[in-house]
Amino acid sequence: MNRIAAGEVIERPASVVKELVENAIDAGAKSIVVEIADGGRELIRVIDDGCGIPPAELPLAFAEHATSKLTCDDDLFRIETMGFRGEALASIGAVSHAKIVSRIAGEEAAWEICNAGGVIGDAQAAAGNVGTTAEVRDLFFNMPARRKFLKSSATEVGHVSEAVLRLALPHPGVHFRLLSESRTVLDLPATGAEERLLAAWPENYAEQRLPLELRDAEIRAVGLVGLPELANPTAKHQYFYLNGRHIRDRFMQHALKEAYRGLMEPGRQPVAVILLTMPPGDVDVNVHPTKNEVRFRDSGRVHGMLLSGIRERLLGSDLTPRAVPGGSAGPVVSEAERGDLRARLAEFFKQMPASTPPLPMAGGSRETPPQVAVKLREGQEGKWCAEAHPTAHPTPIQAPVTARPQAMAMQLHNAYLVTESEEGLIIIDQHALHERIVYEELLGRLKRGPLESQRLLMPDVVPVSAGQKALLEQIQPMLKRLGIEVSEFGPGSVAVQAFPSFLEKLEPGRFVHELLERGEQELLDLHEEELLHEILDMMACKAAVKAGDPLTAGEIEALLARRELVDRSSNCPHGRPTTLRLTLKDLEKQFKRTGF
Amino acid sequence: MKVICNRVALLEALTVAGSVVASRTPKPALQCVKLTAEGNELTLSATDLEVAIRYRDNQVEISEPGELLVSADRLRDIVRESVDDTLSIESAAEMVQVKGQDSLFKIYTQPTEGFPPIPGYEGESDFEIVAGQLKQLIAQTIFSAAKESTRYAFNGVLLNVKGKQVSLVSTDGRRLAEARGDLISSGKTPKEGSLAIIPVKALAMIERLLTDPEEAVGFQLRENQIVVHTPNATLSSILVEGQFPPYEDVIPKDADKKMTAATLELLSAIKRASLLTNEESKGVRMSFSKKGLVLSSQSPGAGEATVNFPCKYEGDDLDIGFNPAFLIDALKVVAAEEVSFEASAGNRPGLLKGGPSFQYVIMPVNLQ
Repeated sequence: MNRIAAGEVIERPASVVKELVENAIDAGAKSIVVEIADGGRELIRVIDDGCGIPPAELPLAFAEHATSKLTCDDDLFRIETMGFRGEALASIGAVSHAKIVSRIAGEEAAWEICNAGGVIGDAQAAAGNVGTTAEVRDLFFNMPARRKFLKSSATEVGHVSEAVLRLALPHPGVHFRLLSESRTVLDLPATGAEERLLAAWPENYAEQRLPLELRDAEIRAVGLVGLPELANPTAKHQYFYLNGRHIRDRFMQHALKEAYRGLMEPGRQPVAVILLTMPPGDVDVNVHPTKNEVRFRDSGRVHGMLLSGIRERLLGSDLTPRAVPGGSAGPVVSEAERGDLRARLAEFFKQMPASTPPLPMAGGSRETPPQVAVKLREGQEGKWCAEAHPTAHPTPIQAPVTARPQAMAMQLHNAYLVTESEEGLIIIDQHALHERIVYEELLGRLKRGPLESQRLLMPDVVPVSAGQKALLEQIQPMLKRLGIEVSEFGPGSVAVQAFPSFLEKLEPGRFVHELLERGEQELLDLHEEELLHEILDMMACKAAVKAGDPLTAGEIEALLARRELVDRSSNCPHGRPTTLRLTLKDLEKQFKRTGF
Repeated sequence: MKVICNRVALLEALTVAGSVVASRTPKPALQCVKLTAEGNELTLSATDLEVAIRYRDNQVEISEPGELLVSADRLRDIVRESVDDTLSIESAAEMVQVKGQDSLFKIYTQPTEGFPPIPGYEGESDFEIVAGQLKQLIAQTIFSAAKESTRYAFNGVLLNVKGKQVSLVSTDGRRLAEARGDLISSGKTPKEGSLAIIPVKALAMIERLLTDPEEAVGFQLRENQIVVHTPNATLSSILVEGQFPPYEDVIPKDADKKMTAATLELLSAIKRASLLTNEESKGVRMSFSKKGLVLSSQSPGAGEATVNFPCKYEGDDLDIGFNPAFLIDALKVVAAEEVSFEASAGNRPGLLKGGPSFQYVIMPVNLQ
């Protein structure tokens, strides 16, 4: 067992909860109750109905590096349980007053064992149900420094709640409850896989999700990804799992973010819950003491699969955000509608490919009737967090909203186009849409060969710094593909000799100058692919009609027609939306023609 | 001031002067036209501070000389919509009255002191050009000037006088047009090497003033300013600042391949070959061989076009691509019935010549 890197795993109450709940899951519990007091400082109690610990093994529970989860050294390379190092209980016991009461099925009585700051008592008979109850009191009583660094009780409750939620997501068949000072903080009854994932979804945005299911020979990824409009500045709504274990992985995070490139504004983070399963031998989970970092044997494959899979999923869906800003203000849903929602979720599950069980996790309750996963948090009892919005029914693939051929389009303030759609009306930012169209057409054009390039009669001379010159040398071949030809022109300057013919309204020198100025600041670290997209983006932006340009009826019609032909027309290449929709239902709501 | 005007003549005068008036300006005086009744002429003046015009209308009867400043748009609209043959214009306090048989308009006027002084045409012309020829020189060059280039000199047309010859040159950096003509020989010979870059707007205005092809047009070049004089108008304009590039250097002299063709036929062939081009694939391929010229184009998503064009061609086979719009622009303004086209290689400039007085350099596009 000394092959295993031991580490400081107990950092705060949430770490204790995580370790104890993992043990409970490994014990096959169907119900796990976590009780805490004073944010976990005073008490942490985890009660499960799992298999329990045989009395004979109970004395080993607090022993260092004793684990019942690995039977031989080779098992380390096929880790399938959550705990495996056998260090958690020992570490917890060393910094608290801990007690384990456990009873296995068939035994008459439970047995308990205590550990007071590292002083382990003898096992004694006790009263208790089948399963294990682990109790941790006075955490860090013998480590005043660490105790002092704990945050307020409320903050620690938040951490514990997050820890329980993370553990609960991949185990929909287990009922999780968290009580703080005897009040329910989290109650997640056993449910279906997708409903369970919604527990981690941003409140009131349940409709803005796309179920995800990807697989190759060995790797399988399932979960939910959010529509681009849900993206927010932090990654707090991203949950990644590997073989049922919550992890942080920069490859997965990067793949996710890349998949949304051009669909959301830069610097934002999409909402997603992604559960990856792969043969345990292809990944090393024993990298970090808290086990939330892993090392993939083939990280490129995971990255590629997620990137292309999520991207495809997004492109095949209608990503048009809705125009009513308060449309998702989370109205209290009536009981009748909640029933309606249930029915729709049930229907939704019927639409999922029958051959694939929803999630390959312990206790996946595929057989239990789909039940609405209600995320209950303190003070929110009785509120269903999803937004009831039947028209935005989350069918797996929805054809993009198309303007009906006979629909009239109208230009407002020389900047926006308004037209009718099947379900209401759509408002288009003419610049953003045209920019996206030009961008996609250029991208398509580039796949067939370099852009058409107009040679210049008199080269446009651009002053450059040494750094810019170096950058220029680096991107020269790419510029050539884009139809920009730049040559040396004495010290401190270069001459633009040819420029894409479709950009004839632009000034070659000014464009190259701007490109290099930007390049020096922000493009240097980009991969070639990203750089190409950045430059194409600049071109598209400049070639597109601007806000303020009056358009003729013919131009509007052509623009709308081309909208149907390009991918990702819902967002401009910078990720801002090109189109908003206002459904008749929204209008009816706003005009108070109907209730909720 | 009191004047009776011929309505049609006045409308023409107001339309010409009105096209100079500044469209957006914080100074209301610049949106006005100034009417000056003096002798037997009514002079209409307008300026946007870059171009200024004085237009003389002599189809008037002046009963009381004077001057007034009034909104150019309003006055023009009234004159345009009137049904009378003559209109009477009379100033009254801070108003001007425009009176027809059944109508009376009173428009508020602006104080004339607010109107900037407009240069007149004093003394002799530096040189003169016959209007008909000037009109052609302008038409053959104005189209290839740049619109909003930061290389300011490209936003104008170069006027270059050498001996008894005058040439206009324009370029937008991708093509260059040069048209040459003669000065009126009876006039005086200007000082050597008179150069001026005339803004496109001013040149277009000059072109509008040239109604009678036989009349002489006088030019005066001053510091940063050009003044052009026709029998019924005087136009002045500030010049474009900056250095016009040494254009002679870009006119190819090493072309070893040459085609000759009838102007209108070549124009038609290029127009047809360009029908399927689009925004991103503008280029038309011109394949020259002993058999003549084959024009072709293809654009993804649209289709392909081929036009066979038999013509006289000397030199090795050549494939070269051009933006057809550039060729069409030039062929439309060629006066000669036959043009020649010279080139040396697919990535070198081509040279189109229409008669002895017009040549046009055009840079190719790369061909896929």
